[in-house]
Amino acid sequence: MNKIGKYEFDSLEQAESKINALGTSTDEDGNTYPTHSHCVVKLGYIVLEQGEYNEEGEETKAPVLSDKYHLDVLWKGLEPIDAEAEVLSYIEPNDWADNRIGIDGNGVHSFMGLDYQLYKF
Amino acid sequence: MGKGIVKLGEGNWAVKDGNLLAAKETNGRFKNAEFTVDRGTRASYVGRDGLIKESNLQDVNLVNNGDFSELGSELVTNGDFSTDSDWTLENGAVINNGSVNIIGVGSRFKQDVLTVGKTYKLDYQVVSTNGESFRFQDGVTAFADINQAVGYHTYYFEATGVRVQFQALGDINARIDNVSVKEVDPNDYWTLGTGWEIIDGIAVADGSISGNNYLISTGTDSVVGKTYKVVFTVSDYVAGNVRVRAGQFASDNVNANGTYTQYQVSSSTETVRVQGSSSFEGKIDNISVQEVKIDTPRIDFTDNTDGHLLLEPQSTNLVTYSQQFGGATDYFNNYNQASEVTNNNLAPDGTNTATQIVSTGDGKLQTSSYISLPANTTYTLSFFAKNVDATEVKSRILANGGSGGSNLTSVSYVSQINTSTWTRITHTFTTNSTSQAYILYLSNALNSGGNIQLWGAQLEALPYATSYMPTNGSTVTRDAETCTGAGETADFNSEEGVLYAEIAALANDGTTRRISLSDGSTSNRVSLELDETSNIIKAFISSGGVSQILQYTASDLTQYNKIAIKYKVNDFALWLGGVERDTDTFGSVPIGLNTLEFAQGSGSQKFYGKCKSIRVYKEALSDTDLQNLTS
Repeated sequence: MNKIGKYEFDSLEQAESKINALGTSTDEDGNTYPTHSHCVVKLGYIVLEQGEYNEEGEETKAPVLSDKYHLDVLWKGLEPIDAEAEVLSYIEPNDWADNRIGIDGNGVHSFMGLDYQLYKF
Repeated sequence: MGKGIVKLGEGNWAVKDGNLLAAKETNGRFKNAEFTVDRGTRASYVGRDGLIKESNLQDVNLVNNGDFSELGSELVTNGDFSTDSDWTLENGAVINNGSVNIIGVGSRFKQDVLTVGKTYKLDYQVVSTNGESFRFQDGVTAFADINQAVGYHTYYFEATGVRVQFQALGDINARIDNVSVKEVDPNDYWTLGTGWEIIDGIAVADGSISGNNYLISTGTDSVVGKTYKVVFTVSDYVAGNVRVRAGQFASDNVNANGTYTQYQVSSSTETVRVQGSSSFEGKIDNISVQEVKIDTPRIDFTDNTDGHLLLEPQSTNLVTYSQQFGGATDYFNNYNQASEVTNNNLAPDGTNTATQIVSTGDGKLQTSSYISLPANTTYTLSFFAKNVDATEVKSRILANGGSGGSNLTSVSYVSQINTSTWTRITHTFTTNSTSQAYILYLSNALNSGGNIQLWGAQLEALPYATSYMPTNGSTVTRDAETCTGAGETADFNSEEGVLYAEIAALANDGTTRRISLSDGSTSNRVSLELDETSNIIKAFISSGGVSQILQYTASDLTQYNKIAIKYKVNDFALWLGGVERDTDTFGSVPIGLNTLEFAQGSGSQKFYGKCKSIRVYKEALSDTDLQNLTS
């Protein structure tokens, strides 16, 4: 089962640590690559309020950024918590659920052709 | 040349159940070997007709007779009373003049053709009547509410007996003609719970539904985890809620007339069912449930008529409105010395969504605010453009540098576009060494009075443009693809053979991309690599973890190249373009080759690029054969 989760972390470093814990390996040329198949999208410190600029392009009001680092993840091939349950339910690995947030709609980012409200945990 | 070939492409593409089929020759006969394509999202490609399409619905509908209109064959014989036969006539009924005449109390005609418990559609014509009453009955139940006026009438009923019978009640003199009886839903595609009927080609709930009295399709089960597009129409709504469930228990209820489209992810294996609340009173029709098969392989026809398998990495379109321009919240929202002429022109996807702009000076279509982009990062801005009558137009990236800003890059594209076809313009740029804001222009320096059409803007953090990702209010990500797992041990020869591919890289982008014949690991493999160093191609032949590595620097791996790796004990060669490019005369062959995949053997280091053809031979070909194969 594929599921979409939206997450926030205290910092980029915390987010990357969590991502790397999903698994990486290194090839014979020294290139590091992920060994998991999940689709991780780094949204960063998302803009909560747009900045303003004058006609000369000078910033007159700085954009307001979230103080949290945001990720969207399309989890692929999750196994149900209880395969015998009438309605199957799922959860992310490695305690990712601790950083999960819920939103209305799709938010500032979506996965092509997938409605977050249909695929959320 | 060669025997026991496994091959893919070469203009012959086949997809089965969403997987890509390679053809394998076994004992002189061809059969299919499936590649498993995996991609978590939809993706677009250019179809054989030149239009942009999205990986989409599977044709299979889980529901049969979703419009409830299916009727069985005619059950009545001589329903037009053309002869005096087939009907049992009693108490004065007679057939003459091409109809049946019922005269006097109890006069009747009948045939026994029904099955108890089935639902039927009765059609008949009252040709004339003196106004006295008659009734229709099935041998057990009398249906006195049928229409008795002169004219053509239809009546639906559930049979409690086997008889089709019209019978006079009063002192009648009436003529009946054109009697027809057909079974409704003759293939039992629907099971009707209490309170549901199929009447006149529509499922009707009368408000007496209780508990789990569903209208249940007997079609195909939904599959857990799959997404389904559910479409249905509600009419003559009176009260209550109704929903169509495709394995999703919490699908949305509706409570008004209209045609509804829902996407549901199945969480249970079950056939489609219509669930009304106990008070639902209304009609439901035209139910369609189709799987949204998002990870179908993409055979793209962008630059050739034979097509190529397109495999791409994960990417995000950062433009939040890719097809609409000029509105306050649109990404490209500022017409500066330009205006929109129309926004309903024929677009590259066949829809009427392309925008035509005219220059009233410098002809700019741009982001109105500065877009913050991180330092030292390469982006590609792409969009589709078509000329109308312009003599100059540029794409531009403007860095925020104080008064008026300064150009990061500006590229004229008027020479690339024409008036008859759409051209995808790509503009790759690298941001400055400090974090800065930029204005992006799809159009700039458009000659005054000049017109162009634009559609499908995309900004990606990649040094090249990938397939188009439409957006409508948010950024959108396409998942990376994998194409793995074709073949089995019998299809390949570990002792000798050739791995051949005609492929093109998407770009020299510093990544490693591999196609491998392996035992499922990197320890035993024949692996073709487009190296992270530009235009370097490598061949890895690994046996028990010990690798022979052949290497060649091609002129341009972003163009199609025909490449072959020959492997045999102490005889390894890398061929490209009809020439043997590198050899090794020492080494062992892999053990247990059993799978072909667009990756390095263990599923990682995926191949992203374009592939016109793959061939695996079970024997080491001669130099002449390899020269011919790769020329």
